[in-house]
Amino acid sequence: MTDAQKRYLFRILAEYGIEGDEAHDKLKDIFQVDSLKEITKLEASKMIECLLEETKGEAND
Amino acid sequence: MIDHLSSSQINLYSQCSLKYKFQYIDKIPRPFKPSGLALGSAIHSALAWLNRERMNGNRVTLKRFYKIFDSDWYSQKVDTEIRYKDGEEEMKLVVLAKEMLGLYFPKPYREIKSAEVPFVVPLINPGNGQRLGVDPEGFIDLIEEDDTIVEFRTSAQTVNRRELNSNLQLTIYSYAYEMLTQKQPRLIKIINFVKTRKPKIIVSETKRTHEDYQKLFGLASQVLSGIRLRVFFPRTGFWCKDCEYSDLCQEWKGN
Repeated sequence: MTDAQKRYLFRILAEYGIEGDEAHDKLKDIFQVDSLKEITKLEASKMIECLLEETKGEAND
Repeated sequence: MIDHLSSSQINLYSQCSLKYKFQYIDKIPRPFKPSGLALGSAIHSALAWLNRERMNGNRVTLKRFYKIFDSDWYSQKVDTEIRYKDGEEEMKLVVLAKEMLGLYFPKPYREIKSAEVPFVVPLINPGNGQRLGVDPEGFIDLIEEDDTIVEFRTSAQTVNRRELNSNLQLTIYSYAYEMLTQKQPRLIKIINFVKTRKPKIIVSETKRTHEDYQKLFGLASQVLSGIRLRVFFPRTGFWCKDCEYSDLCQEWKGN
């Protein structure tokens, strides 16, 4: 994934109160990887869309 | 082989063409990131976020701004070794960055027209209409309502007048702005975050003329010729001490 995607994912998790190492572990868990370097641009893009949808859903609830 | 040219590429080729080759031609992953570069990127992205929020009319608290910075700083460190200078510590750098962002946050700001504006524009010599064929690309940090271009800069020392007037990145931004809008930027404003013991923000202004664009064309075309002819060699200087490719450079024998 690109640096911008990585930054964006960490920001989204920070908005959920998940920060730092916890956010790092969470992302590795979500993507099922040992290192975030393994995540492709497409995978990151799909996950960002998915997380944003969730945020939108919560805001509408 | 090369489809676009950024100011970083032109500057890097001019500084050390071998490093340019390692980074842009061979695409060798950098084994570490210098702390100054990582911190500057995190400050830059947090500022971009703040200005986009303000542009969209969203009210932002300083606490949330810091939280975004913390998140951006963390993402700089993930899966990357940050190389600190002698005597530098991560915590001290983070505190310094927050002090600088804290100085910027309450400053009165003008209406923002756009933030982080991407561009790819043809490079045309204003003297004779010749087109380079490889287009400059980049991002303009901020455009204010009155057509002022704003560039954020993090540095250890205040940017001096000579550098301000000759800075290539600013020339490209000014040129791109003219190409995109068909009008000259009113001003180019540098907001310089100076990493002194007591951090400060210095705001300076400059402008560019068609003569500067002609020089830009000349420089870009020479750099492009060098890249196409595969002219790559090491050039030693103060920049070598922070170079991510110094091991490879030591091994280089002209191949």
